[in-house]
Amino acid sequence: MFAEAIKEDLYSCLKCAMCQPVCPTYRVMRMERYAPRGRVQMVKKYLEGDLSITKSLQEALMSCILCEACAQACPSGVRLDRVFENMRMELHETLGPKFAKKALFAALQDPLLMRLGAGIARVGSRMIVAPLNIEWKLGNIPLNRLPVFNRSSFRSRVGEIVPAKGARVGRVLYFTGCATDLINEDVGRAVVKVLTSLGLEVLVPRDQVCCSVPIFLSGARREALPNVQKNLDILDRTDVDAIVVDCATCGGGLKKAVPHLMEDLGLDTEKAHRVASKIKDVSEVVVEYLEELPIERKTKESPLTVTYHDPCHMVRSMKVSTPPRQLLAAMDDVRFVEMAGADQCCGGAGSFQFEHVEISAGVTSRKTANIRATGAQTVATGCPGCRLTLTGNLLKTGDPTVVHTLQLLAERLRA
Amino acid sequence: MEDRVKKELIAVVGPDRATDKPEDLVAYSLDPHIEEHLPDLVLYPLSTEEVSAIMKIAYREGIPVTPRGSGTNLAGETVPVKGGIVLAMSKMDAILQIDSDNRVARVQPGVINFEFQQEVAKYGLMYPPDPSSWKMATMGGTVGTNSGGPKTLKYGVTRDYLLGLTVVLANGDVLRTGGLAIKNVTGYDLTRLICGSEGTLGIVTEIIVRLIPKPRASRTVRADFPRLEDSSNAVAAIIGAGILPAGLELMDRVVISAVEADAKLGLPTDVDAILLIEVDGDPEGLDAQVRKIEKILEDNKARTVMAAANAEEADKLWTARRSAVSAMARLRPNTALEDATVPVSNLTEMIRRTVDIAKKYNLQIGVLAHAGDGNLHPLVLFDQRDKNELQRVEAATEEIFRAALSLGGTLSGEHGIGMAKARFLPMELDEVAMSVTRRIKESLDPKKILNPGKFV
Ligand code: SF4
Ligand code: SF4
Repeated sequence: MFAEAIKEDLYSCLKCAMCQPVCPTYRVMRMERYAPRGRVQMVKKYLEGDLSITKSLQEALMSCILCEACAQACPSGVRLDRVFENMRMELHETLGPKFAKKALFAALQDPLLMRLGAGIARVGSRMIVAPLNIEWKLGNIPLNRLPVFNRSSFRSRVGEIVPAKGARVGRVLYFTGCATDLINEDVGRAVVKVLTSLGLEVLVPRDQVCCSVPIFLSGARREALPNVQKNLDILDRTDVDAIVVDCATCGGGLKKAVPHLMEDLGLDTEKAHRVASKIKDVSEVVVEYLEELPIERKTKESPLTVTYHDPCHMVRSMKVSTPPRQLLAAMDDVRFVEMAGADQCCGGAGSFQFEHVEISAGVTSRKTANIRATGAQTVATGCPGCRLTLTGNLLKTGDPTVVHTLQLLAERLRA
Repeated sequence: MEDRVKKELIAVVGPDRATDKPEDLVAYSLDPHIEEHLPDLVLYPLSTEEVSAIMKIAYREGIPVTPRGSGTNLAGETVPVKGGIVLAMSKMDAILQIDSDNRVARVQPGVINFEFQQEVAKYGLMYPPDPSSWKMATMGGTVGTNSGGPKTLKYGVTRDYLLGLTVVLANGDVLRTGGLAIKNVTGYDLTRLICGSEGTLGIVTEIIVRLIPKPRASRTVRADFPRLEDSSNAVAAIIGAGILPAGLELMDRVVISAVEADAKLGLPTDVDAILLIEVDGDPEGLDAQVRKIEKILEDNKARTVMAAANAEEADKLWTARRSAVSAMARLRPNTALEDATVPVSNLTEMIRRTVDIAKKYNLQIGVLAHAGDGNLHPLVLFDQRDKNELQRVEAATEEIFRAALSLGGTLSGEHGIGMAKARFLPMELDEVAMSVTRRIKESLDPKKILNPGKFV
């Protein structure tokens, strides 16, 4: 099903190619098949009946990272992100997902299955990969660089209500996302520590489920609906000041893609918009308290050099780019260096890097080159996906480590 | 195209750099022009040798070949109207050499103009041709269309910076013109013959250009004119005073309103024209120039004159001009960007006639102009699905061309002829010129396989 309102956008395409130079896949491949204009025109011709759905058409559309750089650059206001989201649904409903993706979706849709999978993976990575020190790769990432899963679910351990430290000044809901829940509990702990020390009570509803962005952005929009609706029910409450995310993908999804999804499927969008209006990246919440941050005020002889990578879904879907930089600037012992092309995609994009290895490698190598040129010791970012990709590709000696911005902040809080 | 031939062609570059998949053919059937046509095959060569091998086969079999860079040209130059092969030069994108001592550079045709500019800037050098599409336009494409840009008035066009070319001819022969020497009068100027020929005489596979030292500073001034003719007079007076601005851009009333509605920059919507003037050179001399310009603008009844104090303010002033095309484009589904050009002294008259034509055909037309060279960019808005409107657009464009010619101007200042203006060519070129043009084409491309359906 292709939303009528979005079809109209196709007729606003001027074929001007202003979307072309910003497209990471085109920059690597230099073929129209991998350029936004080419892709948009394919969609148009498909809807007009001149092209039919084939594996090859699928490849052209699925090799797009959905980084939204094109939509931002388009002078004519073509909403390319929504064009592609709708087209992916068409592809998915005609061709179905690949087997590996089916398994992934099944896991993401079912918390129990996912925890089971995470457990197996944790054991597997400890017992098989680590001791052998093998140089096998998944996509472009060496297996021993893949993250180790949490011992158990972060959510199940942190508790559903974490009280504020000192006087309570507000209450936020923390949407942890799967990555923090199952892999990066270090980030989860940092987020909770910072928020509570600001005087915020943090609610962490245990029954929240996967944001399902990886499911519906691959075209399985209907399949994602149960999860999406369940989350909306949990998140739609009037007694919290904000819904905080630490993951750009969850954030961009809840803030933008979910309302779009509901609208395109002709469903009621009211609740989705209500929730969307409360979604904030954790850095946005923290900068509101910048003055009162209980942060160590000490300068160091040799400051830590840090650069920041803008996750696509944070800088474009959520339009958040200043707050994380403000946080870094507030740390006395951090020297912030801006990298060239900070808002350009890292090439990871979740499962994209495993399915389109060549393109992903090309996109990533630009990013890592820009990072290295800064000479930074640490890369801060706000997305577990980017963190995975960057960690897996910054492998040279002397390469920086990759962390979530909040981790750096948490380390610098006064006890 | 016969299967046998297709196989032979694909074998030249290998299957990874050849495609006849339906969706790829769609993607290469178009450029910003309204008409589209599917090719039979798209090839991505990497070297002069590969292009030559492809041309030999195409020549033997009489297959049309349309070369293409990024496909941002505005007159349908890269639409493969007769099918055949699209030669996508985008993968030949190496900067081969930048010789900063001699100020020359050698590049492959797929290099992006903007990226080249960034590279040479590292050596304190500049390559002046900078079409508005510079972020996506390829060097090969700018040679094919002899691109200009906002800096044309002071610095000239692509042609003025070409020292030599490697060109694969229709029969696969490789022609090398010019060389690394800045001065060269040996033989016919074949380099300039190829420049602007829109791929109808050969396929450019290597380009040698000259570079100039990058000006050390620049300053920007904006002036608002309640009356159009005052703005033109001011332009004439500035140039008359011996000042050659690096940019002299005009936005008319329609464009100003569109930009203001879209971007809310605080532009006055009750004036006929806004002029943006940029001068560059040594910082020491610029202040005096700016003062002179300010005086001229005031003498010519500008209502407000603003000189940017620093780069940041200058950037703010230019935002209006940069957002102009988008602001207009967002108003309606389709936008045609024309480029009729007249002698500077007729600029006001040409803008007036354009406004009248818009009224006559009930169309929204805004005018941007590189005012210093009389180069107009009427932006014509429409919806291509509305057949009646489309007809009115065609009639209006034709009338704009006629107006430009009757004012001593030309069909195209910088976009080229392509398919959009091919039928109007005889309006500008007389019998003799047309015949010479045809004979040049016939001697270089007797089988008419190079970008057929365009130009000649
Ligand atoms: S920038 Fe927008 S209008 Fe231009 S080709 Fe891309 S999608 Fe079409
Ligand atoms: S979303 Fe990103 S990868 Fe996809 S077409 Fe647009 S710019 Fe290219």
